[in-house]
Amino acid sequence: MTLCEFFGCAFIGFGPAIAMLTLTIAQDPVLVIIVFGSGFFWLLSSLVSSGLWLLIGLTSMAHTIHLVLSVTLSVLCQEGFRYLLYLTMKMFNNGLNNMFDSNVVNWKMMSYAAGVGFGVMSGVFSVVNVLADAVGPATVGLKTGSDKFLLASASLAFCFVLLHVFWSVIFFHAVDTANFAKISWVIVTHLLASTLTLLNTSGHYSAVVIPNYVIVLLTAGIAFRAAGGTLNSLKSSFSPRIVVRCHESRSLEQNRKIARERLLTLLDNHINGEDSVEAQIKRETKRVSDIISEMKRERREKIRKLKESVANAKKTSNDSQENS
Amino acid sequence: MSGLIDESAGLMDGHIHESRARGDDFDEGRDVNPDRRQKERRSRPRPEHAENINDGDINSGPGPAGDQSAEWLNDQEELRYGAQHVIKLFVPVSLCMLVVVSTISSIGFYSKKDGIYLVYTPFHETSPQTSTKVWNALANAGILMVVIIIMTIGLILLYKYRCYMVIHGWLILSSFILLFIFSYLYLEECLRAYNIALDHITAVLILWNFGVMGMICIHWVGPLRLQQAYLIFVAALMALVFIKYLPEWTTWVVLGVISIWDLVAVLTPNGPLRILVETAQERNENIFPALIYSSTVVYSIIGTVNNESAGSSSGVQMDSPGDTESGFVPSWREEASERESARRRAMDEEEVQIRPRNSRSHNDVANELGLGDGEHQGDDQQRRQPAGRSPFRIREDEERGVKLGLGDFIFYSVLVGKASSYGDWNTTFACFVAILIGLCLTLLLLAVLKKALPALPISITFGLIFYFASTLLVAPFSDSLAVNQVFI
Repeated sequence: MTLCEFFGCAFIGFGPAIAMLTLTIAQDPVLVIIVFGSGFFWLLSSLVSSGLWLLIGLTSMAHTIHLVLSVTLSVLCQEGFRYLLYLTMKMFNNGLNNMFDSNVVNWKMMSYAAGVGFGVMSGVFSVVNVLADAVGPATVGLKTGSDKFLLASASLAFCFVLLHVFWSVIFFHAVDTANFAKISWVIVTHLLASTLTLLNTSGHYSAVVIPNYVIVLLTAGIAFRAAGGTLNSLKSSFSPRIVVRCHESRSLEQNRKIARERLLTLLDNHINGEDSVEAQIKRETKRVSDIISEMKRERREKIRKLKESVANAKKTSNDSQENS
Repeated sequence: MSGLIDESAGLMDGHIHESRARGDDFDEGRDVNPDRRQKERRSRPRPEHAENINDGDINSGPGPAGDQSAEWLNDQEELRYGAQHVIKLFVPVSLCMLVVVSTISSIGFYSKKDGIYLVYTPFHETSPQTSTKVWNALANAGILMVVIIIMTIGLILLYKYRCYMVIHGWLILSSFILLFIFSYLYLEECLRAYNIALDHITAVLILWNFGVMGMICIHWVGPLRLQQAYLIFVAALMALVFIKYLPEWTTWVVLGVISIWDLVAVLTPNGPLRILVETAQERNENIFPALIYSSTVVYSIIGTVNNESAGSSSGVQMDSPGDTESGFVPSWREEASERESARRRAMDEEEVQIRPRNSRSHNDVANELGLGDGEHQGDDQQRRQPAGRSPFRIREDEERGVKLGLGDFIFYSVLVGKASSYGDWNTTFACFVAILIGLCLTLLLLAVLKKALPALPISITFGLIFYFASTLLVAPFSDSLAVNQVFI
């Protein structure tokens, strides 16, 4: 049972992150490195913020105030490190551009990968120990505490992973275009989402989770716009499209040629349907092969008849010999 | 066991190219097009196709733009290719750590102290006083380091004077011990932890098959994946042994000291590992496969050269890849390998005329191919006996790969495994990321400096900083956040 709970919560929390990592990041080594790098930056930010937490703890203040203050500082710290990450990546990107004279890696993808790294790292740091304890032997909520503790933690982790991805995309875009409204949206929603989770101690999970998901949806929309998405592109991404992949040869040029030919065929099939070259060829070959097989059949039939008639002739001659 | 400690100081020999010689013909007019193309790419938010090399195809129409787009795609390809090397090391390092961490967290035997320690660590840190513990740890680490240094120097001397048989015997013996005895212990503890009954006959059968296959793969021939898997497993076992049999604080001190030793051994002019790498380069040999994890085929046979060209020129031999036979994008051949550039630098200093890289006659190439296809495909070729005068292998594939000493694997895993043995997953993850970032920086330096670099110092420093920072600072903070379910 505890194992079921563990897997359920782990996949609620990190399922989307795993999907993003495997489907969009893993194929590109540059993006993988960026994910690790941004994870490292998040670690640095958590290091600084826990140092601040310790420093604040030295002064004697109430527990809740201490928590609120350290959460606020930690959020600001993370945004600071996000900016540092932006500067580093910009430097890296400029270096690459100078080196190659062209834009080799898609900057949008890089900002997305940075967001994934930030989000995964923050999600991991928030819930991994809780999840490890969830394996057993005991579980939360049987005697004291809420039985939704793990579920709430997992769904909030999910929320924050996604939020960090969106925040990074928005933030990078906003700094690029010097759009202060979007930067402040990132910081304000981050503060809001984090301070909302302070209410978790009271046990009213729905009061925390639902507003957080509203923030996720709003931020997702802004991030989509920031990434250059439009309503049209959203629509067209659901309409059928033709994708050609080609890894036959090790030579790029060769692959391109093959891919172009295939694309041509596919388009032809798609547009012309029955009258496409491939369909026509198929039809013709089928017709020819039908004719041939028909001819063969006829020939076989003829031979069979001939053989039969010969056999009959022999038989009759034998019979006649015997009779005579 | 000592055989594997020896190479502990990391040894990295390889390269990632960071720039390329570009044909002059394409330079005009190609500044405009890539940008435009990039814009086109951006306008389509379909990330899942970004990795697809055909993505660019569909955009760039046929015709005169073809050349430029090819150039741009080559750039992109090449950056990917360099990054690919980093990932090729990330994966095995992570796998090794994964084996160690999962073993530590599921099998109690390896994190439990039962009073048995390595012979090299006579002080057991049993005293409650911190000062005594520190003193014990320092003394233990000192003794261990002296042993390691002596062993390394012994290995170098043996290599220098071409006592290959002794080295091979040593390596075979140590991998024999690891693959049979330590594997047996590992199997036993696994079975005990999961409460599985297994009769002795089956156990012996499994171990025999496992061990013999490992010996064959590591020292003779075998599929690359299998060899890599065995090397990773051996490194993980060794790391587990260190975690189990080294006293608490000694482990941390050893990790610190060994990275300093690594720095010294690889970078000082007379450092033993530097001598090893340079001698190997001079002799055109591979460093022993039991000591090095190679991201690509170690014994891929692309071709062989005849004895004269291999032996006579005493290291002037440019084993550059052939021209077209392997079907690589031309730019891939532009990469100056670490070995080659080092050799070239050495040659430049001695003002010896060297042949330009691609000037090797077709005759030679044909010769290679002929030999490679014909006579030497057999197993005696694949044996990685570094016999001085025997036909040696073209290191085309191998030179493009990056190599990492098994010792680096061991100590990375020791750090992460030790961090996980205290049960805090945040610390484990922090160490993991820190080590991989350190490795990444080392590889970046490698691409810039193009010479063999120690892989331990940056990674281990990061790892140690993050271990102590996490346990002291981050863990209490994140615990208090997790208890209150506060997310930041």
